Amino acid sequence: MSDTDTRSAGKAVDIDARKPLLEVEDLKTHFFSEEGVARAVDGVTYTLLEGETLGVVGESGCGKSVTSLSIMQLIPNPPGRIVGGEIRFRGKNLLGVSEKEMRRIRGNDIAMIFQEPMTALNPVYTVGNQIVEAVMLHQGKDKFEARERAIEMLRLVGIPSPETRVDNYPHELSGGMRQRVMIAMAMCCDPALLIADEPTTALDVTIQAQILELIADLQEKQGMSVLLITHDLGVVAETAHHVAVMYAGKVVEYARVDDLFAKPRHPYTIGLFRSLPDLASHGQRLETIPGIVPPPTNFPSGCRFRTRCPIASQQCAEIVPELVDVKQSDGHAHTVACHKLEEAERL
Amino acid sequence: MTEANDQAPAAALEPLPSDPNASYSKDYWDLVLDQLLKHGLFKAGLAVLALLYGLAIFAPLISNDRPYKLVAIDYGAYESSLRGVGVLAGQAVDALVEAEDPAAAADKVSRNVSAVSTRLDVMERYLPESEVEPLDAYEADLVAALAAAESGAPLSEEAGAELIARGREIATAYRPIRHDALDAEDEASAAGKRLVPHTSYPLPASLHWFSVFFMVLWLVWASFPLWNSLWNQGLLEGHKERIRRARSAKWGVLLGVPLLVAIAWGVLGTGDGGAFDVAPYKQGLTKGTIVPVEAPLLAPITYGYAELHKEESFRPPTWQRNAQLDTDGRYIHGLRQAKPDTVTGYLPPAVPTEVRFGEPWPNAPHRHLAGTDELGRDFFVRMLWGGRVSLAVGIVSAILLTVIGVVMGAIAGYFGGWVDSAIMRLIEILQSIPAFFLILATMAFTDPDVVPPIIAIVVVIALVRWTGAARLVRGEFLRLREQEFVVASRALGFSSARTIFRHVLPNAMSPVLVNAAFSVAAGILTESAVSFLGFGVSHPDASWGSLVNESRSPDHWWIQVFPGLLIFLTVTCYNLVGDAVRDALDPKMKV
Repeated sequence: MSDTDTRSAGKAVDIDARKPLLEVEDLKTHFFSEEGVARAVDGVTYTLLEGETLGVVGESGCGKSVTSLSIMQLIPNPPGRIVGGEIRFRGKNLLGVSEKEMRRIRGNDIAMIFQEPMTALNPVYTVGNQIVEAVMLHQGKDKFEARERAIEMLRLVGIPSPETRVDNYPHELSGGMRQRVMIAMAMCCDPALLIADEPTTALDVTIQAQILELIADLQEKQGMSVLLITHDLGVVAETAHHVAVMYAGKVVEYARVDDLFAKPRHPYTIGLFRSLPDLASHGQRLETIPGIVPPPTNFPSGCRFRTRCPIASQQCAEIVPELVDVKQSDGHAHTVACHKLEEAERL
Repeated sequence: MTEANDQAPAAALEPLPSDPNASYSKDYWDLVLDQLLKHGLFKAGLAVLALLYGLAIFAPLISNDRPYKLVAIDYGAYESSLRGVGVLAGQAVDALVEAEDPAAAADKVSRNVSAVSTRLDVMERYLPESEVEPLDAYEADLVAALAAAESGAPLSEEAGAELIARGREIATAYRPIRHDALDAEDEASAAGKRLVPHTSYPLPASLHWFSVFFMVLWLVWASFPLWNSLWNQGLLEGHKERIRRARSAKWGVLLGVPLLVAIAWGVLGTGDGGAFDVAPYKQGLTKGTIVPVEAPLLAPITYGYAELHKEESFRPPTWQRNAQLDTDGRYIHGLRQAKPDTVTGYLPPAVPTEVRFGEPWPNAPHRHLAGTDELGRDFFVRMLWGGRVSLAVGIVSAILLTVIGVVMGAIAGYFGGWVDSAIMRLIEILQSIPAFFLILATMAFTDPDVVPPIIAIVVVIALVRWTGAARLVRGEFLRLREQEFVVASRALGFSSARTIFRHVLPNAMSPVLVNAAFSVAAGILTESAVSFLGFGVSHPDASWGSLVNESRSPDHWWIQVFPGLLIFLTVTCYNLVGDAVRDALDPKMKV
């Protein structure tokens, strides 16, 4: 299959040989408010291998960002709290470590870049100062070494004349430049894992491509893993090796990117692909998934997608579907959480 | 900007591109400063405040009863020292002679011996070099006797008698000859010593390093526009990027120079004065016990801040026609002549006005520029010195309440949850109590001997008024907490304290600065009101508020008008400055 697919050949990653870097297992993050408990993340399971990119896709409010903030343990508490599950980073459960140790992991082992480059940099400091601060904290370098490192990082992310840019304030840079600075800041301590939370959503299309290319490029140079959170299937197809599709706080499907794009199995994933604009079906009305995402305080019983699913039955309302491995012909894992896989094939 | 980069690709080695100001873009503080300088009222308000602070800070140099420089013979100090030497040395020797427990006796009289040496030092100051030796020898023998007694050897009777005899000898032989009081024949026959003048600097010697710090601070800050432009144009060649980088160095000058001078002042000291530094120089000069050899260098106004002229009680400003006095000390012009008491018919006797050394004549228009109070203290001088208290209370209370408010507000806004609830409920409780009466009640129960009223009032104002600043900071934090750079700073592994104080707080400072400017004005008003009601600073200290309270009679208009005007002026200027700062920090400002 991968022989016929140029994308997969381009990435040239032998997934099987890699060890898992990050394993999220049955993670539950709930928000406790006066209106009730919002189960924003309710049993998320996925695995990220060393050196690969895992794309997490889903609609707004499905819990993608809360999952990544849970990994960093940056959930605002109160009202949010991680109520269950495990996050294993290099085999160690991050939910058990002290806040002090977590601070050492943040920025140093796991770094994060954000959706909104306009607000993700502190407006009162020069971009250099912000990188220098992180380098000094984590690598124990002095001010001048750290400044050298900052310039080096800015050059690495492709900022022209970094020697002068290092003294610029964020408002003096364009959105794309700021996102590059953000990446430089995240990468300055050579993290093993980069969490990119919709890194291109706020940028225009040409800059989007540059930023994605930059991330892929840095990944190749530094050998880090990337957790790419997005709602853009095109971005996933372009950069990810594995994909986890999330719906209403749960992972509904997890597979290699080629397998998923070749044959999605879950009715929700199928619906997602149907709603992509298609060059062949020009002039027709775009298909949509009927209904809206249910509010996280009031998810339906059983399968959470059943209220919008064309093939839902009584069974779907009663029993919560578990993730089941429907192996690919070449033995790769492809897990789906659906009771009606046969019917879904006919969709 | 990219054009500049394209033009100068070779500039990569140089720290800055070749055209210095082409690629410069203004940052936040440049914009704020531009906005402030466009504001005419801001500059006027700042100038008036600078003047008022200057007058208050330099009050000791402007009005003081000590001279700057005095070259004189202080017969009073010399004679009292001479008398003291005999008595104190006699007591010491008596106690030491044949003492049963010499060590205990030595312990008792060691203070006497050190007092004797202090007095001998004063005498030596006014003696020619050749006459000093016997005094030194006497002092050395006394100290030796004391040391011997300490180690257990009592003073023998003969040695004691000898010491006392030498003391008597000194008392007669070292009597001063007043060279101004004797003619040539008397001088030849008189027994005693001719004294030589001594140069001293009583006013500078009395300055505390703390006062010196603020004097230098004021000078450095007031001259900032001057040396800043020299620095920028000369040293930095008008290079805007370099100017921006020199900011921290300038802050170093603004705070470091005054600090260094103050430390140097405190360490070096002047060594002048010692035990006799409290000598009332003006009194000595007036009475003639201090005889100046050359004209003393006096302060522009020669009144001390609590110097009494009881015969000039409630005298109107002397540039007024109805303040003119006749030689008996009665008012020449109608209205303000002394009236008999309505009940007893007693008419106080007239007392001629006393003119002390260096003072203007009784009817000089500048004798009392702002009149006098009940005890005849010069009211202008009182206001000058009172401004130190009023202005300091305003600034210090504003700084203190801002610090408390910022810390509490930051904690409440950043952590949220029950911490926020607890702090907000505390603020609501504090705000539900009428602040002014809380301050009055606290001041009423504060013992002025334990806590100085100035410190008490500052602390109480800060503890009652921090709530406003805390609410502002909390609001800003609630807004900023949702910004991604706060999450980003935590995602980089920064601790909560670093995130709060280094990343969020600088972004939340604008409303706090504005609030601080208004708080200074409010602090001055509160202190004035509290002092007016008699709960503030106590005599002989003064503040503008307590000065208004010196008299409530409409006859003594200057008592109410002048300090009232000063309070009004200061508060107005602070409000103007606060308004300008608020306009300049407004995010909607025109760039």
